[in-house]
Amino acid sequence: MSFIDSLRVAIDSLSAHLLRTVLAMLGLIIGVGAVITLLAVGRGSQDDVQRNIRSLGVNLLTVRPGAPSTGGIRAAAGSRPTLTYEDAQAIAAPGGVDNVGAVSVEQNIGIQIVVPGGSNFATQAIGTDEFYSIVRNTPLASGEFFYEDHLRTNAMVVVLGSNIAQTLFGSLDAPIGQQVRLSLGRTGATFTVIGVMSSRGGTALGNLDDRVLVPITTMSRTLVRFRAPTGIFVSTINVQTTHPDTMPLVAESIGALLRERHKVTEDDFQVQSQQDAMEAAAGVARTQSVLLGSIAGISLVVGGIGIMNTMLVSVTERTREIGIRRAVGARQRDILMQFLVEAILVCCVGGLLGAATGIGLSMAVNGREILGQTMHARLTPDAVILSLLVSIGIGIFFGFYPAARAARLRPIEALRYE
Amino acid sequence: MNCKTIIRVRDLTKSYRLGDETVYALAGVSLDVAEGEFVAIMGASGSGKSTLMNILGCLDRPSSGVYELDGVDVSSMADDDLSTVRNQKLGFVFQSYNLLPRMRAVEQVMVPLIYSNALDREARAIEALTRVGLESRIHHRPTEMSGGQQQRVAIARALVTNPSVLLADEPTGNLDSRVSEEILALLQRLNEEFGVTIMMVTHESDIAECATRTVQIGDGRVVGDHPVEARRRARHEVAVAPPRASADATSSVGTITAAAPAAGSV
Ligand SMILES: Nc1ncnc2c1ncn2[C@@H]1O[C@H](COP(=O)(O)OP(=O)(O)OP(=O)(O)O)[C@@H](O)[C@H]1O
Ligand SMILES: [Mg+2]
Repeated sequence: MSFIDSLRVAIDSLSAHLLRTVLAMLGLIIGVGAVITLLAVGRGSQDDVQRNIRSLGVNLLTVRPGAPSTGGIRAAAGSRPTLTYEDAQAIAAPGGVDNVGAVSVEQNIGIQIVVPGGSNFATQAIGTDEFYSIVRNTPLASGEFFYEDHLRTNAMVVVLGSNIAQTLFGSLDAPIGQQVRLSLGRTGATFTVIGVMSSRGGTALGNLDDRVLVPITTMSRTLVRFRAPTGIFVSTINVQTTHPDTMPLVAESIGALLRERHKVTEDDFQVQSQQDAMEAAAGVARTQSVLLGSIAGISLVVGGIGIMNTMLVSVTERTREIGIRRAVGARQRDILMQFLVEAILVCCVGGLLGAATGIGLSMAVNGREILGQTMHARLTPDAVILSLLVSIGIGIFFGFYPAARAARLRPIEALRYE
Repeated sequence: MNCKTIIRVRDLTKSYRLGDETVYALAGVSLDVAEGEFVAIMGASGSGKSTLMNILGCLDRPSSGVYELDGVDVSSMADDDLSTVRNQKLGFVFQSYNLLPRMRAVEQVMVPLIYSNALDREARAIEALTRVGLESRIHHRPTEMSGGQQQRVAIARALVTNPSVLLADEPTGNLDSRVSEEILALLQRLNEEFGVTIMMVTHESDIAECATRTVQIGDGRVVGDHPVEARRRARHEVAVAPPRASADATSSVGTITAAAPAAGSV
């Protein structure tokens, strides 16, 4: 019996029980559809993360305190402070490190922002310098950004994130020239708003629109009041390089300079490229989408069991047919093939319908706002091909037992079956 | 006459265990059938006729004994080889036709050819259907055919691979006497014109008279074995042709009255 013959028999028998066939497929259709949709959404959010990181600035090297670890960016977060504003200035200084563009520092602290006679808002203040806007690739919505003078004189000025400006003052222009009070525990000071950043939207690293920018020098003097002999501690130094190709070289030079400045032989900091950050973040997103995909995969198994059940019913119902076929010369493997091909065919068709469902759902979801988040779904051929292959696999796996049962029937008993 | 032995059976037994008891459906059957014979097997109900036929048809295995088909010992063959034997050397006709549901007559007859990977399936199937007089019904499904027509499709299916032996277990058991005669006439013609060796189980002695030899089975043994002295001609020509002609010639009323006894006797 050729494969074509098996296929023809399978098509005949499946189309004779169309409703049952469709019901048997349903689990698989849902499963495959779910897997494809979730994988596409996973890819989409992976893309989002990468886009966000890329939008933080191009050609960016990030220096953080703490020994380098192999576990990715998060492992070293919150390490003992070692980096200072002065380190950043040394990197940027002529003769410091070659091929370096703007260098900017960041130090985050949680603060309360209070508008006189108005509301009170808990948020993060970022202590930074005049290069932040360049390095972070964020233009101003109104007003102006810090000058070198502001840093040098510990000026009592702030630049607000767009959200804060909206929430506290009602517009992006209104805050300019207004006073706000930033307090940290019992310490606090009054600042003049000189600018408002344009909106960045939420990113993988939190919503920058909720932040308040303060000159790092002012922050260290008025809010943190913590100054090491070596200078003002910072949590991050962002270094822009002149060209992507120079990044490894610049990272190397930064390392050398900082080791010299810190008088250490083993690094008490780590230099990460945008690429590293992207990979780490993408890794997290990938894990997430694999997890979601596996959960959806369970429904594939359930779908497979549904198909096995239908096949078992079909075998029992067609016992006599099996007996007749055996009587006129079908071998066990012919019967096995017939039922296996039938199961695989059901799964292939179910898989294709599921893939169509998944593709349709992914396209429907793409760009939609769901639970306040804009969803992105990116369909990739490998997800579709994978789920089709898995469908065929399910057909073979769950179709084999019923088919083997059919093949094992003794001809005389199958013929006598009523 | 051709005297080549096609079936050779020695001390064939078939036993079933029912609880502590062993029931012998066949208690030592020995039988030789030569090529070209038309053997009618008779015997009381439960005597073991079907059991014997199923073993001869390689649908069942004997508990002990020798069964040689066409000079080959089939009693110890592997399952796949038995399938091939059923496909190539044997044709089985059942009392209940055993056609596949939904399939057209021509497809039914093609089924054995599928398993022998024959190439000219459709042509051979149509040829076999023509041989049993169904050339005008090749696209009918079982539900669209009378019992007699269905049984002829089954016979065509059994014949399509040109088997050495045609085995028929009460082939007319579900048919009224007129249609039974048709089927008998067909078997007789196949035996005489095409030299098909036939073994047929029947309960009725007038049907057995159409054979060339009758074998009596009793309690799982051969208790009688005689050639048929005066072979009867099945009343095919007289029974079938004129009513059909008259039905065509007169009116549809004739068809209805002709069909009525058929329905009543099933
Ligand atoms: N699967 C089985 N298990 C137990 N006993 C069986 C089985 N098949 C047949 N028998 C017994 O074997 C004996 C012969 O059965 P068989 O069907 O061959 O009779 P038969 O001659 O064809 O009868 P009938 O004319 O009624 O068809 C019976 O007594 C029956 O009960
Ligand atoms: Mg019987």
